[in-house]
Formats: sequence, structure tokens, C-alpha cells
Amino acid sequence: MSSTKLPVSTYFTDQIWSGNQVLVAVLGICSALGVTNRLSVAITMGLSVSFVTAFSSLFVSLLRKITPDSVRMITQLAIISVFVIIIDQFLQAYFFSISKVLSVFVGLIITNCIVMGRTEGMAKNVEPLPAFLDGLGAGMGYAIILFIVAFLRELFGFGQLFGYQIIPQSWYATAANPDGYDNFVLMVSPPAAFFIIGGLIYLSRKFQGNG
Amino acid sequence: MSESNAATVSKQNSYTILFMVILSLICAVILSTLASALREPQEMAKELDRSKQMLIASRILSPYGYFQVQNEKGEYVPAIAKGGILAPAEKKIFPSKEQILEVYRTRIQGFLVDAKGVATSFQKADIDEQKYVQDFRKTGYYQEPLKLIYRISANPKSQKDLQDRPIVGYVIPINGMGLWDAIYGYLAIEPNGDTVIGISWYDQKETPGLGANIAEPEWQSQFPGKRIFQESPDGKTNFSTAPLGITVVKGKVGEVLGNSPKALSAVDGMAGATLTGNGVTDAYRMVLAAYRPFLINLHAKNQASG
Amino acid sequence: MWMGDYTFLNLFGLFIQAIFIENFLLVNFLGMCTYLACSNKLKTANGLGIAVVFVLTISGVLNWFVHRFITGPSALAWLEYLGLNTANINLGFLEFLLFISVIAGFTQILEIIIEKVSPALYMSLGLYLPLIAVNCAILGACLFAVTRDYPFIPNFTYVTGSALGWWLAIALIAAIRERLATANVVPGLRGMGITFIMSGLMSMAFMGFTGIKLATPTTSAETGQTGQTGQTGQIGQIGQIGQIGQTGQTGLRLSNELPERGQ
Repeated sequence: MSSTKLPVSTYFTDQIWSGNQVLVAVLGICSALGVTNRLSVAITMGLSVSFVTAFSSLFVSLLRKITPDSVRMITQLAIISVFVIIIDQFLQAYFFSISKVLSVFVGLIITNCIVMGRTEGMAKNVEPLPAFLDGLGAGMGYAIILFIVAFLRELFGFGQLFGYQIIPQSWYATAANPDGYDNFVLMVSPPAAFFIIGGLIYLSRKFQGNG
Repeated sequence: MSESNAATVSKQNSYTILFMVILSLICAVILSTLASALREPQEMAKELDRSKQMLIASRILSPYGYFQVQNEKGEYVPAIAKGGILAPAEKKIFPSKEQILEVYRTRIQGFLVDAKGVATSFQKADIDEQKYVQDFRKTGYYQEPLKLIYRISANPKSQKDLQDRPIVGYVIPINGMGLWDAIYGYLAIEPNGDTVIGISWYDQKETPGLGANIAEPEWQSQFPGKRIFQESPDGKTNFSTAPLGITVVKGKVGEVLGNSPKALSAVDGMAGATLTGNGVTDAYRMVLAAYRPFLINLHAKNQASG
Repeated sequence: MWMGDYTFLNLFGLFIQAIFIENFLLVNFLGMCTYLACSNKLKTANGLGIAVVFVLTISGVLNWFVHRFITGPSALAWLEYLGLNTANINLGFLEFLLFISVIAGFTQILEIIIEKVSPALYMSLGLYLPLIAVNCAILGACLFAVTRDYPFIPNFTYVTGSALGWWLAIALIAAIRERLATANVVPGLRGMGITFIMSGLMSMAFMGFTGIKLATPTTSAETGQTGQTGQTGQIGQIGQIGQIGQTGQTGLRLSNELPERGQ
């Protein structure tokens, strides 16, 4: 056991880079592949996961002393489900068009390995505040990766960012100008997400290996 | 020894059960409260979504979010809404949710037609409109004995002008099957029962970037002015027997159909999304077939009134 | 409610569709975490696969009942026999919670039963069961089945097919990973990096199944000429692959046959 106590904020910062859930622990992949088509959707998903992870970790940590060991996992699942349902109801009420696109993926946050991983791995062993920061950091790290993947996919697959046309229309190929630019449609399909994440893992290994 | 062990175990068990029961209760209370509180905003969000789509199909709302009206030349200019009435405006104004719903309620009303094309209202048929709209959304209103259709009333000139406005179009709910899943949309036609005002697709799960283009304004902008009844080669249209619907061709209409009358009832396909295009074609064909008698009556009335 | 408008031929089509065309792992990308984090041996993959088939099939069925009688729209109609007025009660917001509880609960019970009944089986399989409870694929398949509103037997076919498809994909990836372990991969990509790229290539291969529609029930007036054009059309403009397939009704007319209204 170390004699110096690390500042509480390291719980947060560790999760963003050196312990990034997607790149290092390779968790939370399912939704990272499915919802990174468009930036608006990816950011909504990233924020939702951050919210759920942070608060679930907080409550699991608050209840850690009174939870019987035999029902530990189901308690964590119940707490996580409650927050996911809260997010789902909010999205349906105030962000209806995005909730239509996300549809079942919001429910799948429950089984998102990141959330369970944090509650099981960290929250039940530490104080509430570090648990909250750890959960928030994990979610934010995940959100950042989602942002990068969605940025690349929307830019090259649609020529847009947040629905605004970035690549000028005049560059596109038409019947009159068949050698013009065409969207890289593969980016819109799921395999592209695999390739991009594989590439990001490669880059993160390179930079972390050296630093 | 074994007695105290048994006692501890049962004490643990009862604690566990108590813990789970209390946890479940707390979760249930939190969720129920939240769900009840959010029910209204959720209903409004759904209604808003549907209303917006119908307004977009009728070209009262532009796909980019601002109201529009037609000026004397027939061009569409941005408009501003006050109390459900639209007036031309200098620039594009993005309305609030309440304004959209207000304009929707002023301009669009639903009614029913039967298999012979005779119109009736929800009240006369003694059917609850909300329930009807919800129940048959998935199977399709066109399959019911009384089919849902909406009339578009003209923009009122003032608050006193709300009754007896002329009808400037009709909106038909369209159901179909795309590549992956069902597609739902609207088709707005002019009072002559033949020319398209506009379309929208509000629920589709097609491939993003390919089939999902049916929801993009650019592809939809081909539809205004198309004819749903196919003209015969001699230039006349036989409303009882002509093919009814809009065809999404593979490739460009100009290349595939040239100047034939079929081109008036066809639009360009989307590269790489032929199956979705086929789904759209079939959807129009199947749904409009159910409304043919009503459309024939419409056309006859429109001819009669000159 | 039990069979809906599906014939046995439709069920077969639905089964094939769930395994290949809408393969849970390679097309919907659900259920990867459990596997990737675990190991890269084919044996583990098979163990996981069998466990998932079992858990998903039974949970899928149980959750169908939950949806039909508790959380679906107007699902509480059966309570009216007891004299309660349930017309306006909609418990849809509890769906996630109930589904995951059913899955976790069933997994727990299964683990206990296996431990008691067959310790040998427990040694090989039982260790995966807790992992599977939180597998995205299981909750995902149950949720997908619910949004599509299948009747009972098609639902059963769908979840069984999805589970088998998942097992197939996991086994394929594990087999390739075993070979990759001894291959000469770029150092930065070793392990996870190359696995991702390999999975991406596999999912591109499975994209070749796009467009084959086998599972529409033979009901609506004219299921007619929509169905099986079998084109690879949706790959779009990658190197002008465009529409390679064959138009017309090549042998996949399974759901176009006899109109079977009112059966």
C-alpha cells in the first residue's frame, strides 16, 4: 500500500487517458460501433453513458456497506437500470428525434461493460466521491473516443458535421463532372468503426508506450 | 453450534430479502414518479413529430424548420406564424413547438373514407381518433374498412376567417416495407387528386447514407409536381384503370424513361439503395390503391368545379 | 398471438435471417466485449457460445411473456378479469429493469442448478454464466424482438437463431485469433488492434448477405415483387461495386407464395 495518498482528482484523470475504457481496457465496444454514424447521436450517447456511470458508481458506493454479498450484482444491475431508464425517459420527452435513432441502444447502456466494470471494479471498494469521479472519468473517456470516431465517420461518410455540410457541394461529382468528389460510403457502415478503433488503439499504444 | 449457525444464516437471508424488497420499492417509486411526470412532454413530443412531418409533406413547413407560404407567383417564401395564421416574412424564422402545433391544428384535420370513396368524420363513425391513429399505425390505415386521410385547409386571412375555408390539399399516411424494417411517411396531393404537393418519411430504419436518403430534403424535392395517376401515351389519363403511384426508377428518370408520360410519375433512384427505392414504390402502389375510389371522386369534383 | 401470420416456411426464413443476414455480432455488433476481454481460444469461445444459446433462448421466451403481459402497450388487459380498470396503465418504462432482472435471475438459477446436477458441466460452462448475464447480445436480442412485435413462435425462432448466429461468429473470430497469435503482426497492432481490423473485415464479408429478405409473413395483400432481388446494392460506391447481384425472383421467394389470409 502506498504511503502517499493520491489527490482525488486522479480518479478522474486516470480514466481519460492512461486507463481509457475503450482503448486500454477494450470495453464498451458494442455501442461505440453502433451509434457513431453521426456526431449528434454519438455525443448524446457519450453524455448518457457518463451520467449513468457516474451516478451508478456513486450510489453503489453509498450502499456498499449495507449490500449483502449474495445480491451484489443484481443490486448493481438494478441501480444501473434505474439511471438508464431515467435517461431514456428524458430523451423521449425532450430529444425525440435523437431518441428515435438511438432506440434500443439506450437500453443497452445497462449491459455496457464500462458501467458494470466501474461499479464492480471500483465503486464498491471506495468512498462515494472518488467513485463518482472515477465513473465520470470513465464515461468521459468513452465519450471522447466516440466523438473522434463519429467525427471521422460523419465527415468522410456524409461530408457533414452535426448535419451541416462541411465538404462544399461544388466539389461533388455530378453527371457533368464525373471526376468530382464522392462520399466515402464505407465510413457509414459499421466495419469502418472497427477499422478506426483498431487504428486508435494502435496510436494509443504507441503514445503510451513511449510516455 | 449448528443452531447458532442456522440462526445466523436465516438472519442473513431475511436481511437480504428485506434489503431487496426495500430497494425494489424505492426504484419502483422513483421510476413511476418520473414516468408520470414526463408522460405529457413525451406525448407532446410524439404529436409534434407527427405534425411536423405532415406539415413538411404539405409544404407548410420547410424541411429545414421554418414556415413557408406561397406568394402570388406560386413560389415558396418564408413565413411567420401568429395564432395559427401564416404571413409572409422577411427572413427564415424558426418556430417554437407550440406554434407548430397551433398551425397544425388550424390547417390539418383528419377524417375517414370508405372503400367506395365516401367521406365521413370520426364523430359520425363513432371512432376515437387518438385510439384509431395509435392502433392501426403499424398495420396501415389503408387496410381498414374506414381509411384515414387528412384535409389541408387554406391559410386563414384573419382570426375571423377560420370557418369554411377552401381545401387546398389532402395528406395520405403511407406504410411500406423498406430494406430493413417498415417505413412510414406522408404523401400530400392537390385537390385534383392527381398532382403531388410533397412527401415526407418520418420513420425508417434504412441504411444511413444510402436508403435513409429517402428522409433527406434533397431527394424528396423531386416529388412536388409529379402525378400519381399515370398518363396514357395519348396524353389523357384514365382514372379508373391507370397505374396509381410513384415509381422510384433505378438510375435517373431522364435516362431510363426519357420523355414518356411514365416520367411524370417517376423519380430518380438512389445509387446503392435500389431495394429501399423498390420498397417506396410498392408502398405508394399498395396504399394509394385503397384510396383510388376517393381520388377518382376528388378528380371528378375538381373537374366539375372548373 | 402464438403464430401470427407466419407459416413454417416463414419461420425457416426467419431462422436463416437471424443467423446469417442479421448476425448479432457481425451486423449488429452486440456482445463483443465479453468475448474480447476473455480469451482468444476456440474452446472458450465454444463454451461461451453454448451458454449464450441456452440463456438467450430461454430468457427470450420469458421476456416475451413479460412484454406481452406486463410491460407492453395495453398488456395489462388480463387484469380486467379481476375487475381492475387497467385501460390507462402503461408500464413500458419498467421494461429495461424487468428484462435485465429476468435475465440475471435466470442465469443465477441456472448456475445453481448446473452446479447441483452436473459438477462436470459446471466446471466447463458454469464459469461463464455470470459474464453472460451482462452480455449486450442477450438484452439486445430481447429488446429487438420486442420492437418487432413477433408472435410467440417466431419470437422463439428469432432468439434461437440470433444466439446460434452469435456462437457462429464468436467461433469464427476465435479460430482466426488463434492463428493470429503465431502470425507476424506489426507490434503496435498485436492483440486488440489486429483483432478489430480482422473483425471489421469479417463484418464486411457478412455485408454480402444484405438485401436477402426471407422473413416477411405471407399476409399483406400483395407481398408481391418487393422481396428477394438479392443485390449487394447497399455497399454503394466503394470502387464502383454497385449492384452486382441478380434481379428477379431467384429462388428466394420463400415468403411470396400462397396468400394465406385468415389462417
